[in-house]
Amino acid sequence: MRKKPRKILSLVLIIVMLASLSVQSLAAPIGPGEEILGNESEINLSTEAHLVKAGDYFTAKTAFKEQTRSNAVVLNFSFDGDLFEYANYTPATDVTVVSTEHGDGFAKINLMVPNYNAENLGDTMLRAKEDAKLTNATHILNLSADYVVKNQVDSKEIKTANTSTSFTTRGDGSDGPAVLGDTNDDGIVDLIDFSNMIDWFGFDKSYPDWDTLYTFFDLNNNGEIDINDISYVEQLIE
Amino acid sequence: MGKYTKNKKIIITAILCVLVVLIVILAVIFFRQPKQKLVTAGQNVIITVTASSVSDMYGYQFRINFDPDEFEYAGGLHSKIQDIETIFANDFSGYKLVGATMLGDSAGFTGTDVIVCEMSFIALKDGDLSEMSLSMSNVGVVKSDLEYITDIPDWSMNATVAP
Repeated sequence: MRKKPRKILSLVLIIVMLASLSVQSLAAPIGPGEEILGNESEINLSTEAHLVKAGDYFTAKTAFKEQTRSNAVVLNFSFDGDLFEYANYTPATDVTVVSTEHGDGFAKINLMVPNYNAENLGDTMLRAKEDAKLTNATHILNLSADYVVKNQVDSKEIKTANTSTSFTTRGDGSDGPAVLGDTNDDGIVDLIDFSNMIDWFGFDKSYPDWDTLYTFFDLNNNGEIDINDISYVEQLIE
Repeated sequence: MGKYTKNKKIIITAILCVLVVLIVILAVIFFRQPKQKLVTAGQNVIITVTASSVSDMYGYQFRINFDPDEFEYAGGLHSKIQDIETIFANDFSGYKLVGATMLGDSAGFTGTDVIVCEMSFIALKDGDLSEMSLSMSNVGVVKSDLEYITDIPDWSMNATVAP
C-alpha cells in the first residue's frame, strides 16, 4: 500500500521530463541552412535597396537593437565581390571611424563610440559594379560584428553578432542597361509587360513566391503590385 | 344658433389643425427614415463609384469588399471616365480589386462630382442592400507624374438593384 504514492510520483516525474523534452524540441526547431549555434543577433542590418542596376549606389544601415555598453565595434561586411564593391561608410552621430579596410567582396570598418553608449552605428554604401552582369535576383549582404561590452561589474568581454540583409537587382545578365518594367527580360517594355503586370495586380509580399519573381514587378517598392506600378509601365510602352 | 355655429367652426378648425400637424410629423418621420433597398436572390446589383473631386488623375485602384455568401461578381466593369479606358479587376478573398489607368504619356483627368466606373454583382440572398456586405475601401490615385496617393477619403459607392 505504501509503494503506490512512490509509483505515482515516478510516473509524474517521467511525464514531466518527457513534456519538457518535447517543449524544448518544439521551441527550437532547426531548419536547413539555419545557424545552430549562438543567440539571436543583437545587431540589425537593414537596407531599402531594391531593383539595383549596374552602377547604382545603395546603403545599408547598421544599429544595435538597443543601447549597448560598448565603445569599440568592428563591422565585417561580406558580399558578392564579382557584382558589388564597397564605396564608403557614414558613421552615425558621435561615432568615429577609426579605420577601414576593403577589398574583393569584403569591407572591415573599425568604429569608436563615446561613453559606452552604442546604438546607431552608421550607413555602409555599396555600389553595383559598372560592368556587373546583373539579373533579376535577390542578393545577401552579410555582417559579422565584434564589439567590446562592459558588463555590470565593469569587466569587459568581446561579443560577436552575425546578421544579414537582402536586396534585389535587376538586369538581363548582360552588361547593357536593364529596363525597369521589362517583366519578361526581352529588352523592351511592351503590351506583354503590361499584361504581366495586370496578372499580378494586387499581389503583395505575403504571396509565397514574392521574393523569387514578383518583387521585380513592385517598381515602387511598397510591397504590393499596385496601380502605381502598372501606370509606370503603361507610360513606358513602346 | 349663431353661438352654436361659431363653436362648431372652432372645433372643426382645431381638428383640422391637429390633423395637419399630425400629417407633417408623419411626413418628417417617413422621409427621415433610411429607405430600404430590398434585393432578391438572383437580382443584379449595380455598383456605381463616384468621386467628389479628382485632379490630374492618371490611374486609380480601390477594393469592393463583399461577402461571397451574399454576392457574386457578375462583370460589367466599365470606366465612366472617357480618358481612363483601361480598366481591370482581380479577385482576392473577400474583395475585388479594381484598377484603371490612362495610356501613354498624357495629362491626368480633372473633374468634380465624377462618376468613375460601374460594375455589377448578383445577389445570392434576399435582404436589404443597406445592411448587406458591399462596401468600398483602399482607394488609391496615381497622378500623371506617377505620384501615388493612397487612402483617398472622398470616393464613395452606390449600390442599386437593377430594374
